[in-house]
Amino acid sequence: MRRWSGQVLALCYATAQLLAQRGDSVRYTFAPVVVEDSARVVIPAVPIAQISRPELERLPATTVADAVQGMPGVFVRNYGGLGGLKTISVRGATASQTAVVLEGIRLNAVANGLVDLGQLPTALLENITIERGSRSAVWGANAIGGTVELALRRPDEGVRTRAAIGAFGERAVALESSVSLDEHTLSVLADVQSSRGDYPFTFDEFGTRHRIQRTNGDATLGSGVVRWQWRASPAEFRFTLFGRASDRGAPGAVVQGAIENAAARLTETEFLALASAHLGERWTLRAAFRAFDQHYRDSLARFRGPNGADDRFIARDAAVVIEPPAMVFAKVSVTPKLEAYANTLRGDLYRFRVGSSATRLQLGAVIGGQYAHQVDSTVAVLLESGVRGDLYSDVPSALTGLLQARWVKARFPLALRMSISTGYRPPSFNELYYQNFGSLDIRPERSVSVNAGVSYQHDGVQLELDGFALWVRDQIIAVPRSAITWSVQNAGRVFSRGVEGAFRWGNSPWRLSAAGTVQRVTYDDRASFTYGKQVLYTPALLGMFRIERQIGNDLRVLAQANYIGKRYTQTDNAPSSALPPVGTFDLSVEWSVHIGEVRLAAAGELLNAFDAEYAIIRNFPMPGRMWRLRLQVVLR
Amino acid sequence: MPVHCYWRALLALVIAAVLTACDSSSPSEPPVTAKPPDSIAIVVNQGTFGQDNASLTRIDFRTGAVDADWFAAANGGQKLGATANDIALKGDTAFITVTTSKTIEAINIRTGKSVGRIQLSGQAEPWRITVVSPTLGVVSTTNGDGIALFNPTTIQLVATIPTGPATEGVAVSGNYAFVANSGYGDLRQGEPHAGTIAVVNLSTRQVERYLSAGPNVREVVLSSDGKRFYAFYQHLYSQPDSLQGIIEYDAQTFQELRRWRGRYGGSLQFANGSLYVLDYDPTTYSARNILKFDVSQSAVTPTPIPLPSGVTANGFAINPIGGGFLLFDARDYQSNGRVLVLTSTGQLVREYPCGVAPVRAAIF
Repeated sequence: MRRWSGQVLALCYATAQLLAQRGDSVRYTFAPVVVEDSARVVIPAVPIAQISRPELERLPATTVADAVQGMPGVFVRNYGGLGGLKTISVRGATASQTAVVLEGIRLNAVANGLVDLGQLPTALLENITIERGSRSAVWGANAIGGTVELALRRPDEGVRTRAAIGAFGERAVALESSVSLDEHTLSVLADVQSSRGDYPFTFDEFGTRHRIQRTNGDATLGSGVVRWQWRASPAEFRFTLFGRASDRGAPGAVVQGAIENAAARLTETEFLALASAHLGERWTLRAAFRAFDQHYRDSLARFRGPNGADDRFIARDAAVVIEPPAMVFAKVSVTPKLEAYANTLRGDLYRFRVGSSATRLQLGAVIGGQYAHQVDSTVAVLLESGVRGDLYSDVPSALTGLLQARWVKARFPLALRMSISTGYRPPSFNELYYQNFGSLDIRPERSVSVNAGVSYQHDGVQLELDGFALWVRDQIIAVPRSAITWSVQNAGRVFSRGVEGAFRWGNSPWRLSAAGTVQRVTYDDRASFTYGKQVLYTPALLGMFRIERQIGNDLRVLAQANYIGKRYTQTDNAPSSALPPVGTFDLSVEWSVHIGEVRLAAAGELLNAFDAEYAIIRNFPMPGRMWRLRLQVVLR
Repeated sequence: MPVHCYWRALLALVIAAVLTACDSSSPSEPPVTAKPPDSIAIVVNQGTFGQDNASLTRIDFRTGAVDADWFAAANGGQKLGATANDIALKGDTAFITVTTSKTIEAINIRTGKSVGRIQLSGQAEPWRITVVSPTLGVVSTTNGDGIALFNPTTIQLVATIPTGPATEGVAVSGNYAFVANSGYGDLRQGEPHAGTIAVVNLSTRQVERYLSAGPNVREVVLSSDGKRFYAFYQHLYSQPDSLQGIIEYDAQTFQELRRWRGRYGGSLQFANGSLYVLDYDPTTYSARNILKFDVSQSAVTPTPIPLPSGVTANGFAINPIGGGFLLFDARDYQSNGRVLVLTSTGQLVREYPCGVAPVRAAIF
């Protein structure tokens, strides 16, 4: 009894310690308490899905957008092609209601709240973790539907290079290397991808089927990371520089067989510098600076003038975080944290309301507590709570919180969890200030999220089942006001509820994964004619099934099927506005061989193998069947 | 206006009449506007920008039958296009401007079948349309910064005429077209001729003069007798507190006669000696009344005709059959809308379903 109790608490605090030190994070971390015994029951307090580095390397995915589709509760809104916008929806929430953090820094653009997951290559990542449910008390703004946490890759010693070619002019090259010298470690990663994006699609015109090629879909993306780590015991210092640049066409919808925005181009550069110091006595200081420049050009956008559109948006963000050591009172561990953010956006189209730039200052304070209660000799209940306050210079302040509980039993494969939490999203600068679009009367979005789930882990089987409910009020939407004018408004309430399941089984040489989501995301204003109707682009059914087999030491085969259910493009769910369900099938075969210190791997991938014709977003056709060949050389 | 202008206008009319007579393929051409008492409305639904879901709804008032997506039903599922905005009749043919698709769709008003399609080139996007004669139609080409002339009989483009930045409304009286160069409010207000009415001589196909109007002048409508025309200008979005208004011009002398300033405008219409307009407030995107201006009076005080509550008025039409109005309810602009039949005092008589964002109608 004493041993069990001690194990629970010891692991509780040890894990807290460990996780507080992982990576450069400016977020407050509620240490996911791990309760462990001989049956090895591990359960996080909220539903979490993670794609580890080995899995990222096996999947036929080149960007985060490709990798996360199929995870429980996740729907990627994909506008097609390498350069097409790809945003994430978790539990039916919008993209701006999902926080995306890279090494703890929130990437959601202050301009529109979005992150284009198609611009983040998996080659740079160690893992992808998606937490589902409102988590603003942990992550701050935007974490209403969930949070996508990206950890940069920690390269192994040596050199690894990868190259790929594929359909429609796809080319990719990646390099990673790491060297250590005494207390210092230097790592470098780089990734370049390009594609012509000129895949064909079909459309009907007066009953005649035409096949045309997509135009202006070319894209070139480059990104890289330089990381320096200095272990000067007891302190540790890290400096990370992440950078990316892209130049791509920005084709619009296909209307009557013609592609809108046939000359639109988007150029982006982004640099994110992270510095952290883990001092003695468990003090941690972090600082981050981000520079993001965006240039949109469309010579044919005559509504902007005789020369079309030529818009620049320049964002500068800075963050400072102070994390004092956790304090322990009896069995309760209390962790405080202070954060300060500054966001500035300069853009050509903001001049009429706020001059040419807008600024937001934010001060956040967080306090969280953990408590482990031993019910009897084999059962423990773990409680966590947190409160976060955020003061904003330009929008109303926010107070968010969470309360979560877990029930675990020694040597018993089932564990239970429950949580209730709140979320907050301040209006983006576009929603506030963009001319002809924004409104100073817009209110922030707020949410309440409830989750109850069960986890089963036994003999190589991992099964998770969670039910959830998410209420969002004052949801901000863009409403067309005329043929060319849209503006924002608070649309009232949205209610999302559903069940998510995830299954994994691994027993060499086989590995199976499956995930499914049944959800209903509806407008929730009783006075509105849209009450009870399915929210735009929120499929009621999502599914993924993956099977892998290792054949001998050299050959590996992976097959994956994805399913996206029916979704609507009109708020009244008119039958004519429904987009049909989509099923796609991908296949990957990899052959590898070791020659001395060198490992060679060659892979062939067939994506959308059955050549399904579909669109995730209306009038943005997706590619049909695609192939890709990959070659990897690893030198230890 | 000097007397020689009258002579010039008269001469232009004679020339136009001669040219028209020469171009006409059939001397027994039916009248420009169909007049059979069919009690039919063809409602133009804008759809949502870029969604390719503009549509036509056919309502038979006698039977109550509604074909919500009439064009697609009559044409094998073919979509009308993206962002339809206006409709004009010539005999049994209706011409619909489909702005984002850059097409003018011609349909048979009895069957709904497409009888031709004019595909505009470049950035010219058709907006407002009017059929002047069997051989002349005029359409404003927003983003094309001008107007296009087309032949409604052959359904072919004849000419394009540059007029100014962001053309929106257009009306034709005699040999002259009056074209609103809105400049899209703030977006292009600094360009030459933004916020003016271009007076286009349709014979020479040249702009003869620019009439000062106001910021963001968007709509032009002709009086029934063709002697006057009215323009609606909207405030700049950067100055939401500024007033907008309506200007009355003499269609022969091009002189400004009167100007009414206020927080109203949109969907400008003229019928029975009166001007009708929504008291549409762009800062709240709502309209509570249709305002009636009895312009035959020297001192005009607009009379409000209250609209039913809970309606997102995206436009209205004056009902020539039973009097009163058809009010186009866009609801949230992302759902199928409604057509409300109102009496002349604004009482709701009946409602019909239609497509997304109804905006205009042809009623015959």
